[in-house]
Amino acid sequence: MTCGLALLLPVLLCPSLAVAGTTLWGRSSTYLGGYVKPANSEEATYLPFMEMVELHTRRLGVEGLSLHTGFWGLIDLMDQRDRYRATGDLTTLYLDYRVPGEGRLRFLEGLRVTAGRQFVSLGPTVLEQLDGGKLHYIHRSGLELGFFGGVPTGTHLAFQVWPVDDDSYDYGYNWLLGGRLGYINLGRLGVGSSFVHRRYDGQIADNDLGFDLSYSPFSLLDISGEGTLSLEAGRLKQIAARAALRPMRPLSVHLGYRYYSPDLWIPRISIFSVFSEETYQEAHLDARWSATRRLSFDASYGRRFYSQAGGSDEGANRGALRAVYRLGHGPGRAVGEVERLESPDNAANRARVALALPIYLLRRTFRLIVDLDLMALDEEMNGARLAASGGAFLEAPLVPGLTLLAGGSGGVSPLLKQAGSFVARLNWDFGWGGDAVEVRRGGGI
Amino acid sequence: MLERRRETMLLFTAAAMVALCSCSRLRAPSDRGSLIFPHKLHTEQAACDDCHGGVKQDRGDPAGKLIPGKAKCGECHEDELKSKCQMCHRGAKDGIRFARVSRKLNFSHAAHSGRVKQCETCHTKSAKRARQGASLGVRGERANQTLVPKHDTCNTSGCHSRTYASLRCSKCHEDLQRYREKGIAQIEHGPGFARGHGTLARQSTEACAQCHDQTYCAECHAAGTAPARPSILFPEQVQRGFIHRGDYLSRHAVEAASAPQTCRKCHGQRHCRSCHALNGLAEAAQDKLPGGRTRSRRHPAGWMTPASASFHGHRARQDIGRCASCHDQGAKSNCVGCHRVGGLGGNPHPPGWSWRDKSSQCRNSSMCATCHVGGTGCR
Repeated sequence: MTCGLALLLPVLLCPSLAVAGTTLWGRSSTYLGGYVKPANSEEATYLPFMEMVELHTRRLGVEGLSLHTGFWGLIDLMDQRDRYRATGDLTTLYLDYRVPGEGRLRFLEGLRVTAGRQFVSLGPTVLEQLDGGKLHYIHRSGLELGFFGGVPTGTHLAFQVWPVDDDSYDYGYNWLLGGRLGYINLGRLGVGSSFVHRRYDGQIADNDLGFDLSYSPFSLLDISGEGTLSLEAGRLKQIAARAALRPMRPLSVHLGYRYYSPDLWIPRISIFSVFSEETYQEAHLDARWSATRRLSFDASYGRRFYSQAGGSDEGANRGALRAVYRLGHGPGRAVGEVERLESPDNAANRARVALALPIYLLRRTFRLIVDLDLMALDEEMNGARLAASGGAFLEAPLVPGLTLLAGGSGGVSPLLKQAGSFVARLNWDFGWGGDAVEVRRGGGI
Repeated sequence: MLERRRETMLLFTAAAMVALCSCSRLRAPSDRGSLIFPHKLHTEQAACDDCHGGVKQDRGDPAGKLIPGKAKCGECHEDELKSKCQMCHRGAKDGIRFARVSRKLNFSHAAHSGRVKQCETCHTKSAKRARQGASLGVRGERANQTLVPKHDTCNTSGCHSRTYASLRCSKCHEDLQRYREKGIAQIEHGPGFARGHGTLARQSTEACAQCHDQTYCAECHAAGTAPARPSILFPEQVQRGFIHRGDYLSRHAVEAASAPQTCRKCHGQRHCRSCHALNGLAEAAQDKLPGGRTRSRRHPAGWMTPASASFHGHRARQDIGRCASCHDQGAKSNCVGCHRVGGLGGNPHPPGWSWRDKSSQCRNSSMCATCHVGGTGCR
């Protein structure tokens, strides 16, 4: 019901918004799926019906003010245990105000204020989904200043610090705040320092100080790095450094180094934060050869070194090869990749072939999607080493803005043994006012 | 009966595939480059605003509105307009239309015409050519894509370089979502980008925001509020580097052990524990060993033997997060049963432990007080 009302909202608002010069666009995705999976060691069949909505506005009554939201709701039509099950959440809902370059506030041009449920990423110390606010200012000279604060919504801090059987425990609040001071000259130099203070149940979970630097001495070379210091532990939480080279036009090479203290990713209020001070380091090399405008090859190799208490080191490799071929003029792709990932206990070898084939039929662009994934573990897990999964889908445009995707996937796996699912998805890309129809979603990573 | 049904299904599938292939073509009808228009020839005989009338007064996104219409061409090409469509329209036979592309610019020709005297200053093939004073549209065959100024033209001329460097993209662009990323190293989506983009995004979040709104980030990063894995929600995006593809469930133990902090960036231990419990892998799930002893299903042989390579102390020091993914039931978790002051397990703190040595913290923290009751053992 809520989702239905939410869908109707843009329709109801449309005429008044269009008059006010507001651009509104978004996407509604309606899913009907079905799958079987073990629940409490008993097989259960699920038939979820889900609605995901994404809404964006621009010029919400005031130049520079916009509203963005994404939310979803799900009803399981065949939950054997609870007869039916309903759930949902708000992924984002935030007001965004960018001070325009004209008008009375033009001296504040470069200031951006966001409030609501949002992602905050300011410096190496934080990437957090929170209910709160952020203020970010980039002066014309490149000087950058930012503050944020709020209540985290993610599960980073979902550590149980209170005793299980103690009802008298004095619960505090979860919150975090932080900031950043930096300088940016895009394409040349970026340097900054950031700080974050996290509290969980009112107690200090993290207190981190971060530094970052990126420098491009010339267009073919870019050097960047970041580091985070845990002020609580007095140790380095992570260091990452990277050099990106483009020795010739079709070739990109990235050399990197990382250092991590895994225990410092556990909040300082967890009892487990006092057990370990091990670290690991990684050196890696990534390269891309763009053979033609359509075809590219990626190769990556990394070697990890795990420091141990006795002074001896253990190592593990990871390597991957990937080829991507662009089909047609649209989002058609053929992808092939192989990967080996080692850990101290086991290793996974994986091969994947995927195809999103555009088919031009009846003056429309259909897409056939096939995805096959094979995996072999070095050591048995649950009595098996091999896993195979795959799916096939057909995407069909119905009318402009409306697309139907239907298909199924299945596989055999050491943990789930056999799994199968089907899904039908109806996407509706809508927009009103201004140039909304031309707004497209961001490109793929 | 079953065999027959299978054969029928196979035949039906094969017939459907043949029908699909025969009716389809794997080439898109395109309007790119469908217009044949040599700018060079025309500029020798006419001034720019002869065809692009009103250009010097134009405000807002040009969005193709300054491209002359059929009537304007007809002033000189009256005969060709009636019978020689293919002189200008390459795809005329197929009825392909010329598309006007909106680049969503906050751009005013009127504001620029006061400062820039010649159209050629901006409308050349590149900034380099602009500096060399190259003439307009040397090749000019594909009129609909050649003469829009490149980004370099706006920047390297010195007019907008500061605007660009301080990320004020919205001064000129409504947004950048329709553009493919260019080779600016700081935002280039190069090799290993899926794994390394966090470093770049955290340093320059505004650069990402020029193209991607937060709902895009949320597709992968909203671990606590998203309904499902992105590879399930968007199966058509085969080229994206989604981490949880394929049989990730079986692979996740290797991934988690390989880079111990990676999972923790999005998932707390409660996420791990709820799933482990659901699938019978929580600490309560035990295998019966000979002699009536029991062992947790998660733990290998030698787990409690100090000399063993699988000794839990060794593994815990290497990847303590893995222990926490099942055992963190608060400060009274089962580790504390042995590893407490005066307990059998000895001191759990690593060598050189100093963090909570400050006596005030040791005495006042509820977590520390679980073992250091009343400040026992605190320095």
